[in-house]
Amino acid sequence: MISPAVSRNALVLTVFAAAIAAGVSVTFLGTKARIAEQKRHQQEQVLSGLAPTEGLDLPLREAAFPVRDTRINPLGAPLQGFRAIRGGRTVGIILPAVTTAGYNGRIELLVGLDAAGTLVGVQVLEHQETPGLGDAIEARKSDWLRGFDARSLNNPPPAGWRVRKDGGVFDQLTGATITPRAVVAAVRAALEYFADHRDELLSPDPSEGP
Amino acid sequence: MTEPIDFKTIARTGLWDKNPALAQLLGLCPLLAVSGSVVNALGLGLATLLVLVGSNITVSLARNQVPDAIRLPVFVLVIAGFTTCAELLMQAYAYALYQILGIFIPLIVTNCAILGRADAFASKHGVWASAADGLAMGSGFAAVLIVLGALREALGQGTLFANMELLVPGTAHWQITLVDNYRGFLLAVLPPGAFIGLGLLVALKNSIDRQIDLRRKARGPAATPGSRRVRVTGPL
Repeated sequence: MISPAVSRNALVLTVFAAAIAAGVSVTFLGTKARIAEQKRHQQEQVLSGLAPTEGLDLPLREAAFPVRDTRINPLGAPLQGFRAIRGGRTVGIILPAVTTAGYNGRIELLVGLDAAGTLVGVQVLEHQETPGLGDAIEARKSDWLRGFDARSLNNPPPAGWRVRKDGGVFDQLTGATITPRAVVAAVRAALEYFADHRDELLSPDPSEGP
Repeated sequence: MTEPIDFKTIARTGLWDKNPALAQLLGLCPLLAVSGSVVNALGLGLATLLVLVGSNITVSLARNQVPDAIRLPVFVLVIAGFTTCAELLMQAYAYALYQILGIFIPLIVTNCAILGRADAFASKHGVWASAADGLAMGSGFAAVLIVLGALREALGQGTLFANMELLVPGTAHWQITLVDNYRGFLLAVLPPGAFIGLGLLVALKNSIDRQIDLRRKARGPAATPGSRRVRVTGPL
């Protein structure tokens, strides 16, 4: 036998749970389209800085292919690269690159290359580096990432693909050496991956990845 | 319901006397984690303020329908609902800021300051008083967050109001660079800096309170009800 007090409590709790769930659902449905739009916009903005966007056969977002290589994807997460295809020819490649060599957790990058293997740009998608020090790798916080523009595997020569402190050409960040060291190594790994798989990556069939 | 509402007392209590962060020491997890810069502090402060006002109003409206035994689960439900809505709205309308504050928005649910106000105030007072209390407590919390954020940003990075455009578009020029080529002060940026900074703020508040207390005592016990002088004026 359930006492009346208990059943009343249960009823009140149920009513409240239902009312609040309804309120959250309404907000969710009301913001769903806008949130999806924001995410798409965000992704487009990131991608557009890394590859040509004019006159492509299909939007970069839709020319995605999976990347499983452990050199640039050491954790085996489902990562995507993107192809810029113009007139049936691949004119640009965007490769993901993940590194765990940072100061805290993993750093997720997107590396944009042209068909000759020259860097168009690098973007940081995710990181948990120290705020105020390591987070200067974010494009909106400093222009450190621009230091990669127009570089390639032989520019600088392999020995130069290090931060300045280690004898390379890339600046370290004030108070943070580990973070830029990890990013430089990850970008270099992406370039090497491109060099090794150039033909497959440039093949115009967007559904196939090496 | 019919007790007189003294908005001045409510404001004073929330902003100073029982400030959630400095006097009650509640909600320290988000406070310490997000106070690394002014823009982060302002973003979380505003979100907390919104949830606090919303939950206080709802709890106050529902206070006569909720049996005592299940009041806490109901309050937590209300707070979780408002927090989820705040998170969705921030995602929809301030996506860049949402990406920075990320995991700290859901953590608003666990901010004891909010549940504390629902239980200690909103469940016993009318809607207007509860809304005012939420506003005062939320502003008190946000103010401490912002002061701590400014302190840590100034010491740690030598700037103020950096990256404000993430919260309010077109305010990139608000950034004030206090020291050019500042080398950064790691301690202020990292969590220990938050603890030390908060400790200093609490100490400051206590010393101000003591000064006020001393000054009041120095003025004499004139206003204390029940003192001998009061009795002398009465019929003997």
